[in-house]
Amino acid sequence: MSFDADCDEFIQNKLFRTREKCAIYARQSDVCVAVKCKSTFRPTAPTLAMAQSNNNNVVNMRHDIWFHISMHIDPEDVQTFALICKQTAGLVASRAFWRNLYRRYCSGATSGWNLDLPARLQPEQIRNCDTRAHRSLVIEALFRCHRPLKVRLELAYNLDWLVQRTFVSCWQKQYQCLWIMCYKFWNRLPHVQSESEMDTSEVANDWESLAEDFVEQLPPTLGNPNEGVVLLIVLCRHFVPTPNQLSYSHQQARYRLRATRELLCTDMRAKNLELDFAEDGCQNVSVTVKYSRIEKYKVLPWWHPDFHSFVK
Amino acid sequence: MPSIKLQSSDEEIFDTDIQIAKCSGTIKTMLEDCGMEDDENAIVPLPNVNSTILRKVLTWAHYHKDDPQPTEDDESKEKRTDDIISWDADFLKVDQGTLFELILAANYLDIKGLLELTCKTVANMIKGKTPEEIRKTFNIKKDFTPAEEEQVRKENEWCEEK
Repeated sequence: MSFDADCDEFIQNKLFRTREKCAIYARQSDVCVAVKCKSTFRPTAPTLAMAQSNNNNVVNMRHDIWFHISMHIDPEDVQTFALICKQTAGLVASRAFWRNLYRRYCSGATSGWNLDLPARLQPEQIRNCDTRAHRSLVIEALFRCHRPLKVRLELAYNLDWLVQRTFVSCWQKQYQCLWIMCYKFWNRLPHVQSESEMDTSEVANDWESLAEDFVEQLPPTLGNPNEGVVLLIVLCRHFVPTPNQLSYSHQQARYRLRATRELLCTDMRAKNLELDFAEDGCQNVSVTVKYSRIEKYKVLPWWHPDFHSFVK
Repeated sequence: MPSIKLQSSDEEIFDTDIQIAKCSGTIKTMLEDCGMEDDENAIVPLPNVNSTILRKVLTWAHYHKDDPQPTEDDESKEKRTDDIISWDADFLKVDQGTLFELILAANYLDIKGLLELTCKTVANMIKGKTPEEIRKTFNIKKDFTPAEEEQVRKENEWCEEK
């Protein structure tokens, strides 16, 4: 019997004895011994999956890492977090993010009820609205519950908040011997209209489909129509009429507030307030409204607790 | 003291005290559901955690083994980001890759304390920085168009302090 035949028989026996577990058996002549180089690379398996790197060493962080981090962001850091990248902006736009913020900072001890909040900001009320409306309500609640944001309300917003905003409307009301002038501004561009303000003059040929569309367009709440709105409330003792240029409807909004001036009166006992408006896209001031000897003014963004007392 | 064997993704075995291993909700459930608690030779496979990270996790778990378990009330209360103890702060003086791997491992292993600690640490790294500085810190590419960036800025202007 040759050496190869011996080997074959040995392999067959080995296969039989190991119940076919040992399927591969090398002949002595096939064996080659070489020094195996041990890799110096430290195994960090999940890293590759966690953060994919391209040639420029730019890291694309995994969504779930951002998600966990987002659950620990303080309210005052939300804008910064949202502005990091599209992933973080997407997280800040999610319902889970706002639900988490509300739970961390606004929930009270008794079934989530917080006595510092009005009824419309209680958990039961905000639970069923759409994400945008939910987000708005949580922001309003945060300004009533979270100390660093409450401090900002106590310090009051200055007139700089209004500069470059689009003028929407103006109205006045009398309270005892005072005139309350209300200016409404928003931060949207004049041509960007909300869905509720969209032109509905399009001719419809298929009335049945129109009816179906209408039903589909009826979510429980359509966001917060006041989001982006800032009010300027000026209190004076005498009436100052609104300039004709500023008397227009919401859809025609075309003026922006370019500058404000708060000037001390000559007798140093009161202040004058001046507001410069310019047509959108034009740098030259076209309208200036002057309020002399004002009693007080207040800037109320949409999240301010007093906003709802004045908005129209 | 009874122990258990934990196997990392790169197949390293960690002989660990069972009480320390049980700070992980995932391991605790595996031990209880699979009846592995009494089997000293049983190996718990952890395919999503490598040995480097598992070693760090076990070090953390060993130090915090006597901490009380967080209750539901603790979870809902306001989470502060400035209450990290010095041992934890030193423990997390690691490179960013390790820090992010610890977040994933803490989530996979269901260790609430470690997940909170690691996320708080990153949240603190974000605090007081501009988005540009944060992108630089974490080497992240800015993927917004100017219009998108402006939109996000306006939507979150309530955060601004003027």
